[in-house]
Amino acid sequence: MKDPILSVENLSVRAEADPQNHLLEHINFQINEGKIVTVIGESGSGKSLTSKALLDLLPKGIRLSTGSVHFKGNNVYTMKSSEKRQLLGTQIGFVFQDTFGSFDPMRTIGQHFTELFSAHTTLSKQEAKKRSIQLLEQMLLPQPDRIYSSYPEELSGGMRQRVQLALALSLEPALLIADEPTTALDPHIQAEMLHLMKEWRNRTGGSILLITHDLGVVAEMADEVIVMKDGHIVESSQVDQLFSAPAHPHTMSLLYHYHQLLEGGQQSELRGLNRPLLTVKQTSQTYSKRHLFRKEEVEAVKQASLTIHKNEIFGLIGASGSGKSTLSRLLLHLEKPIAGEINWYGDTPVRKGIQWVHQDPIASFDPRWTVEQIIGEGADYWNQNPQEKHSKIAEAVSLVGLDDKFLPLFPYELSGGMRQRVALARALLLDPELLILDEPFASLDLSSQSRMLGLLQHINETRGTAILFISHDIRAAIAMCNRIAVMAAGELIETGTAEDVLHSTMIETKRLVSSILTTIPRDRKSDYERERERDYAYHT
Amino acid sequence: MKWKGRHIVTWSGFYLLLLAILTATAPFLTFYGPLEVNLDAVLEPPSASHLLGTDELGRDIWSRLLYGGRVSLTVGFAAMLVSLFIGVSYGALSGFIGGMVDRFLMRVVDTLLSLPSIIVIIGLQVFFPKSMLTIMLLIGLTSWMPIARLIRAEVLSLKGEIFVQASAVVGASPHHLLLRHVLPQTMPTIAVMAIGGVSHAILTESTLSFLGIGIPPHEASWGNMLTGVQTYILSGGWWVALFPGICITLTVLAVTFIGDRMQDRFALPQLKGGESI
Repeated sequence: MKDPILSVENLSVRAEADPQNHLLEHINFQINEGKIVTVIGESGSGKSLTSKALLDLLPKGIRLSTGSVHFKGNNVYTMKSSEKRQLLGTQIGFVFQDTFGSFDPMRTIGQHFTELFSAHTTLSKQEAKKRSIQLLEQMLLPQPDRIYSSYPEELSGGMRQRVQLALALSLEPALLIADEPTTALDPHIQAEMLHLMKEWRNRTGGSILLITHDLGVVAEMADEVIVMKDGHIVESSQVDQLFSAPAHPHTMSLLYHYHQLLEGGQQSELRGLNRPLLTVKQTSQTYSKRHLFRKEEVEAVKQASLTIHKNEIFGLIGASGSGKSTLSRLLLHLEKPIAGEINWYGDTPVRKGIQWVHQDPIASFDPRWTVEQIIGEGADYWNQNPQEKHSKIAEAVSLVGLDDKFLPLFPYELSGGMRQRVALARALLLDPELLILDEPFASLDLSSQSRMLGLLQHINETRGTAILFISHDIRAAIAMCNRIAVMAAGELIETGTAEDVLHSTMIETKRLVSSILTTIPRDRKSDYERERERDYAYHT
Repeated sequence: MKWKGRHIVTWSGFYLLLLAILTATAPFLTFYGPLEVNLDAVLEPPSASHLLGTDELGRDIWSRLLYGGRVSLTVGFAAMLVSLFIGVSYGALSGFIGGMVDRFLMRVVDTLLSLPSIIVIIGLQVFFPKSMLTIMLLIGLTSWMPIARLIRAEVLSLKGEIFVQASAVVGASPHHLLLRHVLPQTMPTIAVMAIGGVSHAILTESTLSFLGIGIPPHEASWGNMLTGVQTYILSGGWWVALFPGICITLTVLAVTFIGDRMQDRFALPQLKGGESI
């Protein structure tokens, strides 16, 4: 057998300030040629730190205590810095989650490529340009010439991510390290990114180290999986084995939460479907964008009509920018529609009856307020009795499973899952009849997602609160919702049950559905099948 | 904050406190009245009988410095309060209401800002009795526009923040939103503007008094003490100008250092004590 591309032996890392406490301990693994190895773990498990440690890129104040990293037989930590630059610069490519921070905003995409080629190759300028455009083409980017001469901020997040991949692959590295490369992306673009990475592996035989917290990504991509927890590797195995026979309790719990997320809501039957709660009729909203000499009208929502019934969990899915959030803002009274009407029991909506949980909880809290003030704010406006306020807060807090000890803290001191619970408690304080959840899982770990999902279903069942679930995550919507509406380019193109949506014949819906990742590795579609599906979705 | 920074803030606070105590207890610390003319002791250098010397009318400079400090500090803080009150309410309303109202209110500010404030104060003085109160009001009335502009810009961006909208969803009315959520976020700006306002008012008062159109000449103020001193400096009477000059400079400096500290104090809880962010 050939030597591995990268081998990590007994790697331990600690903070200088606290030498007793190891941030990473006894990390051992290998990446063989042509393999995709994924590292999975919750936030704070040490995945990203591991990827940094591999290349001697540890942040200040953190240092290696024992162990070694060999890349193609050379020890990374004893290499001369010039050797290291040469080796790591050309042989290892990187893709990060943050698509903005990895570009210089003052330079065009082309200049990024030119810099790379002139530093590491002897290509002439014309050749370099030709090669760059070719690379952009391989990433299935439309109009590669135009992208070559544009600035990073002129591209969308998904495009930037693909350009980042093109840059990472431009020097034909032996290893690609991708740290949560698709976390911030739409599922459609996510599927495409993953596919591109896989295609590159198949074509060139390079290896990939993929860091993620999403078991769906693992199921889709991995050959081998490393599960991390608190700076340790708790399990590492082949992907099929991991899904069929997990060994470590932590892996089992991850898988449990994963399946919970996939199958969560199927048991809840439709109740009260004949009692409309909120009716939206032919509602439109436009924004005007000001240019230097002209005004451009952007239609964010076009003639949308929908009905949400009492007790129902209603899903609204669509790609980013399809108008989902604008529609939710109209329902919340935060904006007035330019046309159409929104009825609540056949009347104008009461603010108290509809509550909202935003995708970014920290942005939705006053930074100067404590958790208790935030949760209790609604009571200040709707009932005057301070005693009642106190008991209401206690009730909401226990309902969402928060601990009392969090009340005097500031939200920034809490973890992502806890923050989302605070937002939920604030919304529930007013006993709403409809809860609007805007991408509620966007910033959460798998296990927090699954717990949130359970919590939401519990609230829906015990209190009869209707839920409007807005998401670009189709998996979650299908798992949770009684009915789903699909939105594309400001229009509601169809409404139906999860089953209807999965088997829809509408092009836009098909595109969304085709981006669902496989749930277990053995169901993986062959590349050929994927290609055909994609072509179908694009060309029809 | 670094140790050194804290040090200088402590000294500034100490200085201002001392100044406040000295000016408040002035009658017990002086042997001569601030307006007591003694033509036998004109322009005497510092000595045992006149600690900091005398001016061209034989008035005791130490005594004038203390009594004058009362006037200068009062004018400084009162004028700041006036301009802060007008500036913050004007800017907050303009930014929060937005639209046509905002555009109109801001054009008014632009217009007012284009007038040189010293000239306006001189012009307006024609219509008001000459007194300390007039000077405070006039300085306040001519210095609120930059505050309004800054507060308006902050309010405008804050009112679109998600946490403000989230509060609207749980039922907060516009005045709740403005007073509970938007304005508190502008506290660091207000603190800095307030401090700047004090320095500006003290300096403006000195300028006006130096020109002879500020505090009436029969009252002592630091600015007044500098009126016409150029002549005496040239003939060797350095003490006439030096001591009020030092007082003005030190006070403005101390106020500024404390302002920096206050900005930190009012910063968001998660940023407190941090310098790097």
